[in-house]
Amino acid sequence: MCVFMSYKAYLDIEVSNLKLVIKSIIKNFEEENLYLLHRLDEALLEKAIIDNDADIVNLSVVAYCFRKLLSKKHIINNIKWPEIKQKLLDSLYKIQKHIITGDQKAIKQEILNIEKTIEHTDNLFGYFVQNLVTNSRTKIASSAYGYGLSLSKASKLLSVNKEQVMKIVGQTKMSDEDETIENIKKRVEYIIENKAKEK
Amino acid sequence: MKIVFDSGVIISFSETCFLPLLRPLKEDIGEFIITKGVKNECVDRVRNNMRLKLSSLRIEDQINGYVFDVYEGNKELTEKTNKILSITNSIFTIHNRPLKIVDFGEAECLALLGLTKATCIAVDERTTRMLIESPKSLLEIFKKKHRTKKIKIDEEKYQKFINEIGKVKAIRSVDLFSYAYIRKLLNNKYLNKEHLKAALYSLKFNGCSVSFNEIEGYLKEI
Repeated sequence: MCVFMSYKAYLDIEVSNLKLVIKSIIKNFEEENLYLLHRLDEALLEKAIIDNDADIVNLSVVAYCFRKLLSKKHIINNIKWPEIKQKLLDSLYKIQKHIITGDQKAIKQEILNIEKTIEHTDNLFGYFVQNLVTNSRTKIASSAYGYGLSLSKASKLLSVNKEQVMKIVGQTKMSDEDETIENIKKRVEYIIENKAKEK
Repeated sequence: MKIVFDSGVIISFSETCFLPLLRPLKEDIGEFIITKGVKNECVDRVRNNMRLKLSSLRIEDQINGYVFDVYEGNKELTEKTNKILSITNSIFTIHNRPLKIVDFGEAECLALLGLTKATCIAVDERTTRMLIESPKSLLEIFKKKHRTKKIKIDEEKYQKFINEIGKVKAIRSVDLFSYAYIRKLLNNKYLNKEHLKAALYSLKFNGCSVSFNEIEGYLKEI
């Protein structure tokens, strides 16, 4: 496999085709392919940013959460997991049917149902107070900020609080990769000079 | 000197327990102004979220204590905000489509700059800051992240944006804290470099867009 191929080539789907996106989520969730689920959530986020589309971002959240669920041994080794996995797959099959009929409202509702099932699963087996869906949304919002969206724009697109996104951003190297336009000293000098001028 | 505050700097100060520093800063610098939207974002909207309630109560104390002047919304502000929102969200295009990067809240702060003749915006996030100071650096981020060269900047629209907000500078929470350090507005125990370093790092870890190199460079310079 060529290492220089883009991740879109690995995915081998066009993310603007909803039918193919859902098919790919189903396939990779069934096969427990964490790598391609990750590529999917990234590609969907990028598409959502360009299109400014909260519906696409919700699919990115679904792919992200599936990957997280599959990576947690205490969840997938639980006796109830096969039943939960089937429930999630059933919702995805329903979305496939709604795509054919063009029922956008039903698609949105089914995505919401998936998120609720994930939240419920996480509450049932998870250790943390904050649920997986909110955590995932916050992480994806920080990625959207990394793509160059403003903090409020990224937070709103993912329906999360700015405070929590700021905390995640603070833990990343994002700011260290940016070019320094003016350093602290110059900005402090600016305040001193302008304060004097405006008085 | 008038400074318009975005919610990010206030949140950074709250999360690092430096909110009480805002009063001496205001008394030393001049006027601190926020929009009703920023107040809503920091106080009202998170009131029922127990994870963020303490922070919202602390910030509300600052507002009630007149540290910030809350600019009541009016038709002029709404019109200017919408104009700025429309311009900023079409400065960059990707594959000939506008890239919507700024939200209403930030656009409102930018609009307030022009209306209040403030010369400074306090903002911790990088996109708004770079948009004001160096849109070409922002363009490079877009190119790198989207892995395409088909992202363009409309110079004419950028000039329109600058005309709307006037000649302004952006400052961050780390800059305000460093100013307080230089002006000796801090509690005595913070008047040493070790405490300054810890404070600047803490602000960075709470989301202020500043690099490790910048902090270390500043500590060496002073």
